[in-house]
Amino acid sequence: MAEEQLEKLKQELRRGILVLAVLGSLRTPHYGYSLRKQLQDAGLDIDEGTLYPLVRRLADQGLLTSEWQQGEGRERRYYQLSPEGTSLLESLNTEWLQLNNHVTKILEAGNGTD
Amino acid sequence: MELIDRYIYAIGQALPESRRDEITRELRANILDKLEAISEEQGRKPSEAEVAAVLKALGHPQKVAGSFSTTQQLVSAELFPVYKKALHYGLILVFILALIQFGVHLLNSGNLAISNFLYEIVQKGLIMFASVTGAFYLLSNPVGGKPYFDPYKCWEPEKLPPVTRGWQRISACEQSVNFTADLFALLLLNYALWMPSSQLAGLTIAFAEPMLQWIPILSAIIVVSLIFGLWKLIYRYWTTATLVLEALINIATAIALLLVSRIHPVVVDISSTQEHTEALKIGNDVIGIGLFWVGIWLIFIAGWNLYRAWQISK
Repeated sequence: MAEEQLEKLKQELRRGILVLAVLGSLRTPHYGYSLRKQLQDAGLDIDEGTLYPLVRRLADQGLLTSEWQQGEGRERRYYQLSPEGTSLLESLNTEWLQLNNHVTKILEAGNGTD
Repeated sequence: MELIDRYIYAIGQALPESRRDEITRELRANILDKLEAISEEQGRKPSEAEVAAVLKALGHPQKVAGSFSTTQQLVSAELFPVYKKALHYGLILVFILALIQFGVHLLNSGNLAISNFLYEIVQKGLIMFASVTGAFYLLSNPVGGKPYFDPYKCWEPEKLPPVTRGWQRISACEQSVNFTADLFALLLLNYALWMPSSQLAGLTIAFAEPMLQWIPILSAIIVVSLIFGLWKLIYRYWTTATLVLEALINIATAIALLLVSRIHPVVVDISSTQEHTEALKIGNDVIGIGLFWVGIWLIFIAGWNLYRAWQISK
């Protein structure tokens, strides 16, 4: 039960951060698989079933632009931040840094009283 | 490759047509990229089993297709408490409808058709469940994503009743009794509007002519009371304004009932044999006395409502 609970809470915690990570990665163009690889190399292993629909949702919201390109005999859809996505990423990044700062303080204070 | 085709086709079937080509095209490209990476790692073409494992890791076609569609809920979490209440009242409505039909059938034929009564409840219950759920589905998934209305908008923290004033909360039981009584009266008065024509033709009792003139007035008061009941469903506490409105509804109903109680007879025998004439004489007396005392009781309740309103406004 505790493990299930932990898994659920971990997923909840990751959900919001994934958007930030994907937007941050797409400052340079990527296609689905290369994006996953980049996130994986950075230590963030995202399930394909989560990543690809997320990218599509962000594109549908106008935060990403996309373009089909031919390469190595195959076509691939490349995604990149749109101007709207870029400004949103800046705001989200600021929010994330502040949140991280506050939560770190809270957790450290909690450790101190133990 | 055939496995991939089959997999992509299965996903496509579960996707809306407008987005099918775009999503499957991209998914295929992603799968081929992954297989290419395996191929590079192993130095050979991936085997059939490895292709199957990649597809398996991606997930069941329905699940994958579902993850690309926008989230839809049958009933949103926010509307769920109201949905449950609506089902509760819907069930009361179904029960009353079946009960009136059962009564009419009993009066006409003298048969206790219990199985028919149960069948009517199940049939009407299913229709009610589907209709209520359909309505809440539309409310939960508005076209364009913008909600049609916010049922929890009109409230002020200051208007919430104090913990010490328990009577200011409207209990679920009180609500159900009011709703049931209103609905029963409305359906009984307007039986001609909803009863099947075969049952109508077989009726042996009907409202007398002077009573028919009162039906629209009484129905209008009951409809106002029912709409007000819906409001109380969401804002479940009394305020000065709602108590005054409740008192006004009670006074209007009381006046109407006191005037109706003077009509004699309220119901008449319309059968060719006039078999109920004697029984109806007593019945009309009882109805007249009953309506008079219900009217008096409602005036008392209206006075009580106004007293409570005065208490809150103090």
